[in-house]
Amino acid sequence: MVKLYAMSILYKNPNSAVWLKAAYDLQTFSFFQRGSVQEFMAFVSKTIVERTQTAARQSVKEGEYMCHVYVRGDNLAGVIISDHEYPQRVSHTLLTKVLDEFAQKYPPHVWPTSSESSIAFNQINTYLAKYQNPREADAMTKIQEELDETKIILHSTIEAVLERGEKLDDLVAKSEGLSIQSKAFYKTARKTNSCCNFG
Amino acid sequence: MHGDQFPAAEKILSDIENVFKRDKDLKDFEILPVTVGENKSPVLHAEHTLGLQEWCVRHLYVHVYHKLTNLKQQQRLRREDPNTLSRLLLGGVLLNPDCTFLWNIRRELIVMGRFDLFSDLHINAVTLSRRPKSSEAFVYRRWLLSRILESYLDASTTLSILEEELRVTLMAANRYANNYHAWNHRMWIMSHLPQAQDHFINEWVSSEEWISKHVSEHSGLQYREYLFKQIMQNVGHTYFCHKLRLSLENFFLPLKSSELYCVSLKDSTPLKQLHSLVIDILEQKDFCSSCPIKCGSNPHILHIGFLAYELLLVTELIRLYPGHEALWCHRRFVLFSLYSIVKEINTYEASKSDISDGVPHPKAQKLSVSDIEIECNFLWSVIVRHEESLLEECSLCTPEESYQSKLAFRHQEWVEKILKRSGSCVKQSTS
Repeated sequence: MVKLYAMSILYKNPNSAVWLKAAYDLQTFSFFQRGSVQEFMAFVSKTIVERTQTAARQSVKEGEYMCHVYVRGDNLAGVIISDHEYPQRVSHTLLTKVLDEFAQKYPPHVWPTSSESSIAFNQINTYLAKYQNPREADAMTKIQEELDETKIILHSTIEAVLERGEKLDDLVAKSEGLSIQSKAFYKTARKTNSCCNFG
Repeated sequence: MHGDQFPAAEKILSDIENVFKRDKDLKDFEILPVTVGENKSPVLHAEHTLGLQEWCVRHLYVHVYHKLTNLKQQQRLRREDPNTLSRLLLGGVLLNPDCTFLWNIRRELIVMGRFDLFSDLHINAVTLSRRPKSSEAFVYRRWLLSRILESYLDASTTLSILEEELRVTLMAANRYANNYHAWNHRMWIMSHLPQAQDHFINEWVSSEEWISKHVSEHSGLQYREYLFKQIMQNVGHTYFCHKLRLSLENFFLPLKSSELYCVSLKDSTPLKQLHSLVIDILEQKDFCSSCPIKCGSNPHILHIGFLAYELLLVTELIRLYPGHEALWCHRRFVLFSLYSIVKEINTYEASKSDISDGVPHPKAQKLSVSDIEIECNFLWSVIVRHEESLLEECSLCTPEESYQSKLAFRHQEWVEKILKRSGSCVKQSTS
C-alpha cells in the first residue's frame, strides 16, 4: 500500500531532539490502536533523529514500514513514516521541501526555544494529505534532480540505527513518551511477531 | 470439560450482545493487548468499534466451543434457549470466524427461521473487520446473500445491499494485503446482484485510485480486468468518452512521426474508418456529434480507447513505482487485449477481401492477407513503439532498481515471443 502515516519536524539539540510540529494520518489503524500507534511513531521519530548525524539522510526499513530522516546542516530535522511501497525519492524530496518552507517561516534562532504548541505550521497537514497520492503531487518529474548531493544511508531494521549496546526493548521500557498501554501493545506486537512493529 | 470453569463468560457474552443491540452501525471489532484482567468488564465500545481485552479471549472461546460441542453431541441444539444460543454463537464467530462448525449452526438456525438474515449479515461484516481474509466468513456471506436474493427485492434495498457489500469488501481489501477473498466476493456481487451492471463504469473509475495506491496487489488489478471484460461486453457511450479522447490522442501520438500517418487505405472498411477517426482525433478536429470520439461510428474505437487509457496509466505507475511485478502482468493483459483487437480486425478484413462479388477467391488468399496486415499496421506499429520506448527507458535503470530491469527483461521476452512472433510479418513490413 502506498501510504504516508506521519511527518514530523524536530530540532536536534546536542543531547536530545525536541518537537516543532507533527502531523499524522492513522485512519487505516483500528480505533483503539490509533493512540498507541501515534505515540510509537513519535517515539521512533525522536529516537532516530537523535541517532542521525548533522547533515545526513537515513532511510530505515522496519517490517512493512519505512522511516525517512533528514537532519540539515543547521540541525533542523524532518522525519517521514510511510509504507514501504511509498517511493523513497518522493519522501526525501518532500522532507527537503517542508523543512525549507518551515525555515522560511520560523528563523533558526527560535528553534531551540520553541515547542509544538507555540508553532503554527498547518502546511504540514496539507502536505501530508496531498502527498498521499504521489501521482498527483506536483513537479514529480523533477524529483530526481531536486535531491541534493547528500547520500541516503539505508538500514534494514531500527536496531541497526541504534548505538552500540542499545536495545530497542530497553529504550521502549525507559521511554517517558509512551503510556503503559502502548508499552503493553509493543510487547504483544513483539511477541506475536505481528506486522505492526511500530505500534 | 466439566463444569463452568470461567464463570464470567456469560456476563461477557451478554455485554457483547448488548453492544450489537445498542449500536446498529457497529463497524469494527478488535482485541486489545491488555493481558491482566482487572475487576471490570473487558468489553469496550466507542466510535462504532467493539473492543475486547485480550486476557479473556482464550477462556471465553474455550467456554463457547465446549458448550456448543456438548449441545451438538447431545443433540440438544434445537431445544436450547434461543437467547443463550445466539449469545454463544455471536461470541464464537467473533473470536474465530474460520470455524465452519459455528457458521453451520447459524445456517441451521436461519433455515429454521430463528435468525434474521440481515442482522446476520451485520454480524458477519463485523467479524470480517478483525479477520478480513476469512474465507469461511465470505462463504457464509454469499450463502446469506443468495438466500436474500431469492425473494423479490425492491430497487432501493438492492442498492443498499450493493453499497454495503462494496463497503465491506473495500474495508477487507484495505486491511489485508493481497486479499483474494475480498476481491473474489466483490466480483461475485457485481455478477449476481440484479442492478450491478449499471455500476460497472463507476467501479472502473473508482478502482483506478485503489490500484494506483496498491501497486503490488494483483488481486485488485484482476478485479479491474474483470470490470474491463464486463464493460466490453456491453460497451456504449458514457461520460467516460471525454477522458478516452485524451488517452487516444496520447496513445496515437507516435503515429504522427510515422510514414503510416497519411497512408491512404483502400475502400471504406472498418479499418479505414478507424484510421480516419484516429487521424481526426490527432488533428484535434472538432466533432459536432455528442461524443468526442464518435464512439458510434466504429465498433473498435471504444475498446481501443479503454485499453489506451489503461496502457498509459500502467506506464505511469511502472515509472513511478519501480519493481512491482503485478504492474507488468497487468500491462501484459492490456497488450494482449489490444493484440486480440488487431487480430479481430485482420480476420474480418481477410474474410471480406476474399469475397469479391460474392465469390470467394481461395487462391488470392495469401496475397490479400499480407496486404491487409500492412494496412493494419498503424495500430500495431503504435503498440510496438510504446513497448520499445518503455523497455529502452527501463534499460537505463539505476543499480538500486535492478529488480525493475529484471522485470523489464522478462517483459521483453514476452513481447518477443507472444506479440512479435504472431505479428512478425507486420514487423517486417514496417522495417
